[in-house]
Amino acid sequence: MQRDIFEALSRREFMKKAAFTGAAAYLGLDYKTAAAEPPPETTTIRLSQMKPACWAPQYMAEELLHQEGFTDVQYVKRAKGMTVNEHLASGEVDLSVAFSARHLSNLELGDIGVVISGLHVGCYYLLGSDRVRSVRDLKGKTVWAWSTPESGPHIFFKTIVAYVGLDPAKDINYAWVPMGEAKKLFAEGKLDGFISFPPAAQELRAKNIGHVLVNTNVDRPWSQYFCCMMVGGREFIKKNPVATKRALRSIMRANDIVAREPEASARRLIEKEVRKASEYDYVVQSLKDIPYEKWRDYNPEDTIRFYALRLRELGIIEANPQEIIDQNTDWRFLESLKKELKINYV
Amino acid sequence: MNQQGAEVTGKEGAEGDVARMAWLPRLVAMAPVTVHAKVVGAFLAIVAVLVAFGGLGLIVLKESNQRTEDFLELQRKIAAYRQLQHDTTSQLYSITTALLTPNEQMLDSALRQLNQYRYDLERVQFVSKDEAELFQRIQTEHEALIRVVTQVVELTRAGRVYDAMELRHTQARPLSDRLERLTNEMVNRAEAGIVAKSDESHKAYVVSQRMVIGFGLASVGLALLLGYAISRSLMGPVMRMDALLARISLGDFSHRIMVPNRDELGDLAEHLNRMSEELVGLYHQIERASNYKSEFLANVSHELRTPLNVIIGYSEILMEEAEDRKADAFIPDLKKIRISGLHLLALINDILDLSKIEAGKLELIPELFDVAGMVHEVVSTVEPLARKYENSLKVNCDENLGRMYADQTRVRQMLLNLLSNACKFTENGVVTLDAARDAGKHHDWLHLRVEDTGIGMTEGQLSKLFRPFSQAKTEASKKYDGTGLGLVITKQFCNMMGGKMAVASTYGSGTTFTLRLPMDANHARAVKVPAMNA
Repeated sequence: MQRDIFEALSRREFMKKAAFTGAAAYLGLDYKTAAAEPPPETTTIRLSQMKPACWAPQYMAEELLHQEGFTDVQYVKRAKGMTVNEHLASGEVDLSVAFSARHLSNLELGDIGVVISGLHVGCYYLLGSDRVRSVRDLKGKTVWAWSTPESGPHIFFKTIVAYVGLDPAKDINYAWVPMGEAKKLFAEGKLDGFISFPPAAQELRAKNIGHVLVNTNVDRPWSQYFCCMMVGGREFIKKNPVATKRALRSIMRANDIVAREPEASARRLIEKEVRKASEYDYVVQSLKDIPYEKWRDYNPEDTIRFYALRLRELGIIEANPQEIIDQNTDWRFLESLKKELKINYV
Repeated sequence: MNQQGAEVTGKEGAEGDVARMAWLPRLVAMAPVTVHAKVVGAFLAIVAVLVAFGGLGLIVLKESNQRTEDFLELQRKIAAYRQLQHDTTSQLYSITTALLTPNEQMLDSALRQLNQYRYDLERVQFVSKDEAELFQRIQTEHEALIRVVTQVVELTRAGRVYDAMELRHTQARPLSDRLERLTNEMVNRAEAGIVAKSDESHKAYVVSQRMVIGFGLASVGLALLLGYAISRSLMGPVMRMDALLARISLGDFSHRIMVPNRDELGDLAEHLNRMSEELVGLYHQIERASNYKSEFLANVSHELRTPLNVIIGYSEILMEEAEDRKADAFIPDLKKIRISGLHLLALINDILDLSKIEAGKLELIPELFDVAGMVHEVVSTVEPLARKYENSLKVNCDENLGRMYADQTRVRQMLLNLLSNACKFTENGVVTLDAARDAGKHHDWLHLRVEDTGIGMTEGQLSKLFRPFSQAKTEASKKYDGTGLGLVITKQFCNMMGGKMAVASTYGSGTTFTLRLPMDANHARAVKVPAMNA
């Protein structure tokens, strides 16, 4: 079945489907507005290709990017261990999705990319074993919070436990194992906590392994803020403001497509080799869980402020929120798209 | 004020002294203001630093106080925002409850909640005056929520529960969510404000810390620097003037000092230099006069001694003839003539010695002689005098004192003077002479000690003891014989030989003189003979 779906996917078919469900209106593309703008400074746009399924909008934006004048849309694979910031700084990509907390944690390491918009609300799940009923119950327990301490999920886990007064360095034991082994250990009851972005958590839930301690889609305060955000290379944004705006418009509109067409979006992820075909169902579930349609209601600046406060509490960063906002965000593009995209905030 | 000393004639190189002075003390010294003004200026500079320090401290305290106020303000905001957030959730809860149990009590409760809303909003408006735009958005959302809640209540009262639930789901809930995010944003802003204030506070602390250390070091540094500059600019000239005065006191008028000061010290140095120049002239005049006097005294003494010796000689001849002719009536008068002549001769001899010493014409003629023999010889000479005053003369003299290389005549004269004085100023007492040899580092010393149990001296008399003719001015001179020059000459001889002379006396109990003379004149260091009236 998976094979059939995979084979059924093609750019042509996607556009056909889009035309069937409302064509440009469905895509949210205002050709008049786009045509009135100057052409992009560059016809090539390079986006960072990474594993999280929740980043589906940037893949679904491919056709929209073509419509915006980008003749060459590239998804550049990131080397293992390389951060989004490093990927942007290397000049290999122009724009990327980044997990907000992880991205801000790089602040002390040097020039981080400029945040230009939010993308979607919470996608993380923190699952617990039968031995834990709440996050505070994780004290003294062994948890899988990704395989490396510098990873985004690990940093996010630390903010979650620190928020309820636990010391993530002293109160928690970590199992530094690969995800596959972690799933096995969690299923065997050898771990009491498991955090992941889509689709790993959905897979565990589908198999009735563990129970949800924190679902950042719905649980406060995490559900009140963007989880992943759009980040641009500082130089690219400076040199290509029109291209940046056009690319951002495409990706933000692709949010709506993912919200309406999670299945098609899942197939696109498989087509782009972001996820495996065997993960299709979990990816679809993940995309359905995430409220992609809500992006207009959320204030990306407040997300930066919120996570900056949390990371500072943890001692991961030293800068104060306003300094970070002043130096590492640029809402001009989102602001200029406010009326066109019916954005409630900013 | 004048800058001192353009002309320098001294050997010490006064210009070199000035050049060696550090630039800051030199600068302070050259400032054309009084010493008083310089000292006051330095104090005022330090006071100015301290006042500036205090002023900045007050500013820092004021800023710190302001930050505390800001913290409180932000805390008030957070509390108000949280209350609003809580009541938004409560509102949604009360609507849900009213929909589940649609009775009047529940509906009234939901409507009453709206009043609470307004009150919360007023509070938020009060505490967030500086965030008017955000408040405006909250207010708009609140008004929308109030309208929707009112509609939900009205629909429920009308029995249209399904429509009410739909309205709650499609409008009230999203509005409530947005309000929650808005209040979250306000809370986050306030928290970020607190963090920023905390950073400011930390930076201010660091700045204050550096400022305190900086000002402390600056104050200490300034005090030390000014203290150093002023003290050096004052003490340098004072010390140079002191050195100049010391040289002048030793009779060296060849030096001048140069100080860069343009204050009272500059004037003083100029006056000292002028005084030194004047003293040079005066010294030469006095020296010439002294030489004339000594020469005159030597000549006069010589001219007087010749006829005086004739007078003494004839008086003795006449006494012998008177004795031969049994003319006893003339003998007492002739004795008086002879004694007076001898006294006058002794006086003239002493004056001659003294004048020679002062004129630098008296030369010591050292020779080897047996000390013990010389001592006994002097003792035998003075014994008649001791008997005359009924004194017991005790002599403690080591027979193995050995030989001494010195001017025997003068050593004998010194000892004779001391023993004679002791015998004359003691009646029915004891005069003791101790003669001993002391081993020295480079050469041996002859130690002579003459102690009597006589009349002794007061402190006033002791202070005038070595002044010429001082005895003549006392009552003692009327009773006791003597020229009053013996001790002066003894002291001068002692100095010339490189020895030391000391005296200790208790009025009414006696006097002790000690003489310490080098056994070998070749190793003696003669001391310059002071002026007669020194």
